[in-house]
Amino acid sequence: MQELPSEINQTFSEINNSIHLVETAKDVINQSIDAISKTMIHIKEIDLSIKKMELQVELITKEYDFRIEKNKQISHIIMKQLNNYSNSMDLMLENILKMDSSSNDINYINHRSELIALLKNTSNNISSMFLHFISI
Amino acid sequence: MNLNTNEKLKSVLEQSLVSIESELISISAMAEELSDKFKGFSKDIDNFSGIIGLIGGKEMGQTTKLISKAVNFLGDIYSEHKKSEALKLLLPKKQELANIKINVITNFLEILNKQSQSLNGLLTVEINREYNNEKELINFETLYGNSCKDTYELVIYNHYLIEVCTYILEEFKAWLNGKNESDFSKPDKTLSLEYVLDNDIFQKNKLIESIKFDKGNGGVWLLSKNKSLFAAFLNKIYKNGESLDVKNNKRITNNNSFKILKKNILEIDDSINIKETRNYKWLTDETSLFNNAKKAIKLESLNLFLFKYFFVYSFIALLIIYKNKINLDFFEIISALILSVFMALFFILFSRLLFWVFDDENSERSIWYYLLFLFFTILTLGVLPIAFYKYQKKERNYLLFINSLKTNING
Repeated sequence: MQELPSEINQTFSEINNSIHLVETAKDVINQSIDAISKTMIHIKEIDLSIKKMELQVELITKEYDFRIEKNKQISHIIMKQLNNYSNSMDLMLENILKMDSSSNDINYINHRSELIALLKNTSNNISSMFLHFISI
Repeated sequence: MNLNTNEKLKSVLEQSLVSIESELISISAMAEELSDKFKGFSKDIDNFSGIIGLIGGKEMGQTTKLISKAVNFLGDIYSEHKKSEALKLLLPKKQELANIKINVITNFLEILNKQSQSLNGLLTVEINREYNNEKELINFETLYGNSCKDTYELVIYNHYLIEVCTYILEEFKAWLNGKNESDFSKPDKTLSLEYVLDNDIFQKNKLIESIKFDKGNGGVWLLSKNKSLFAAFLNKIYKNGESLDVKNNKRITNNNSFKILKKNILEIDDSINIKETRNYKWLTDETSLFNNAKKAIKLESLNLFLFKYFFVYSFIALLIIYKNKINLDFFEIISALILSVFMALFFILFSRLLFWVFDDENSERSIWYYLLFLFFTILTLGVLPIAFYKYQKKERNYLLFINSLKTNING
């Protein structure tokens, strides 16, 4: 077979290179489009997160305003109630401590146990009220 | 609603933490989310570096990589800035709230502190009540069980609320001083149980004395009924030694906390006479916490452990070698024993070296390390890796037991 002239060979090789370059460019463009769209999504997400955070802060601020108002109204009542309850608890505690803990009388022992149970209930009531107060 | 002590304590903690930390937690979480989003963006730019490298050359690619790192870094700064901006905005509100609540909480703390002393007095009466035999124990439970339990719960709850109030007041002080939170540690149930355990009745020697004579008292009865209290009792002994522990000590048996816990558990165990001690079945029971403690402290020093393994291995190996002779005389058995001691010591020397490298996370293990390990594995017919595995398992079991104490305390 007769060989092609060297000019034609060179032209073929240049055409091949150009096709290869075009294919590479196509891949690069595809990759770039993909990467750009992903980046756009992430930028939008950042924007959304910032807005969400700002809204959350606004919400918490409003909640605080509400809590402050509520606390202003009830703190005096709670203070008074806590003092009343604790006074009755002190009284109960004092009475229990005065009782004869070594008595063998079963009725007396049962009565003492009941008083201690009552003391525990009173303490539970005070605590519940206090817990409610700290959570608002 | 009738809640038990543990549930109540959990509820106290939850409510106090929600009221104190809620906004800090939610804002921190959102800032974290924002920072993650920046990380995603930074990754996009990093991916771009490959494409840019193709178009603009390697240098351009490197520059894009640098930009990606900068975005990541700036993202963290921006998120942190947004977080502090948000918290700064909320601080005046928090201060206003603190100013309203502070008097009520201070007043309640005073009430609790005042009651604390009287409640302790009452508990002392309850826990010092004695019983001498099984019949008296039944009587004790019928007559005084409820009052003893109620008083114990009153004291625990009182102390825990004192902790909660102190914590909230410290947080408020921090807010009023312009900070978002204090460095004060959060309320811990362990401290309330330890507070009860400070009473003389819970001294280890008193417990031993009671066990020896198979007697009991309200304190012992409470220990037997409350797993969390007995866990706190053991944990307190452990903690007494923990302060003297050398940091980063790889071997547990070298720690003072281990030595002290082991000594105390063995002392208590020595006082138990299974046939006689009827009132202490809660200690001797197979599933009891004390039984678990006994198993966990069966951890000997690494040298002794390895010696046992290698001595037995060497002795058996020597006997097999000598077996070719028809009659093994006394002298040969003695010489095998002596030789086994030397062989065991030789193996220990290298095993400790291998163990030391194995434990050191920072050391680079070269091919020579693995070859040496392989050599000794073959030489000891696998006894070396088995001993490694067994000892580490024992150490892990001990640590699991220590963790289980904390789980039981908060359970």
